[in-house]
Amino acid sequence: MPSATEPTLDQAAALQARLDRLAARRATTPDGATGAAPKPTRRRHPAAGSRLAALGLSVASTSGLGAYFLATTTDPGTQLSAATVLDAPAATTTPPPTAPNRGTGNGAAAAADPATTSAVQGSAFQNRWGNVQVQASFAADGSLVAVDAVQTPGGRSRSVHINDHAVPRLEAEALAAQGAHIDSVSGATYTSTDYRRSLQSAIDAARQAGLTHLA
Amino acid sequence: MSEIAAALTRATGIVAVVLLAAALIWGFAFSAGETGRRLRPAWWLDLHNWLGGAAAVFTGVHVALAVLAANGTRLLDAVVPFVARNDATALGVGVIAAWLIAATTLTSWPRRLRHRNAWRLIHLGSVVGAVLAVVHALTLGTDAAALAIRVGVVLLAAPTTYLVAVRSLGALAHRRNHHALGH
Repeated sequence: MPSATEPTLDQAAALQARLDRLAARRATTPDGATGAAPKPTRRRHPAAGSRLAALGLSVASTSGLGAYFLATTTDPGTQLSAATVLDAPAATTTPPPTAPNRGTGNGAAAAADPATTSAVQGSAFQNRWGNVQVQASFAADGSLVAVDAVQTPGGRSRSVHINDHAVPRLEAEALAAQGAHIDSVSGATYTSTDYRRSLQSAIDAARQAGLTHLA
Repeated sequence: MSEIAAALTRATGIVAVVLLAAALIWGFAFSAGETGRRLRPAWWLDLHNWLGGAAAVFTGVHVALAVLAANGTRLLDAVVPFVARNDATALGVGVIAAWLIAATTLTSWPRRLRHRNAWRLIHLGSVVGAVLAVVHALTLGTDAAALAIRVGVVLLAAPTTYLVAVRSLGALAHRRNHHALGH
């Protein structure tokens, strides 16, 4: 005799028939075909719209900021003075000028023989952090022998700190490259850009005066 | 080309820091249960994952552009901290931040790290990564002295710090209660 908890034969048969019906129903697709596996539904991300908005904002911000930075750093800005030839070859010694804004001349010009070098002061440029102007010295053979920063931004302690390490690097690069085609110093983009411009104007003035053949 | 790369380096760096801060805010808001009732927690978690991934992508683009921008950063300087000839500290801090962000992302996607404690430790490393990224930006960034950047740093730091504090204090209180119950 079956116990109270065990199903009777009739109940077991009914249960089995029900399970068979359920299995048959599950194996049947809505259009009546049988045997096909159920199609997995694609999960929609909870923040799908916000994801797109965040990505759009990020790309738009990058493009906008990039365009703004490009426009401000490649903008010629304010040219304060034109390039001038200070010393002709064999002229009397003229020490590097003192800086009206903040001079950073490191004495490199002193290493060149002043009797045989020519000094040309580049144009002064004003950017958002201050003025930049360099003085280039050329040897008798026209090579660039020294570049002195006459003016660099110095109104803020941070600018002083940046330029204290950026200007010597720019000078070393300019001497190695024998021209103004030098890389910007990271963190000193504005100073680097105007340093190049001022140096290029000095080289152009020297070439016009017949002091160098550098381009 | 190098000027475009330099401008985009600055732009991607700024956007990466903003995305990183947003990912931290979303993540800590989710884990602290400070998400309110209007939006489901799944929304916060989903967007946190997305923002973190986007921050990692923008950081990668920033590093790649910094090398391409020809501003003196070599590939070695961009992947190994403190080996740069110039600005070694400021650059090294940024390299560590980038590695921490990458580790956080790669241990969560495409598959989450199985060892939960290791995953959590690496994930919390992104907080250190965010702090180092800000230090890197303020010490080496061309725009670090700009007022808009300084105001932006304060505006991002305030909610991030608040949520980190809420989450940390909540975790401490939970642990104290756990011990008090004798578990």
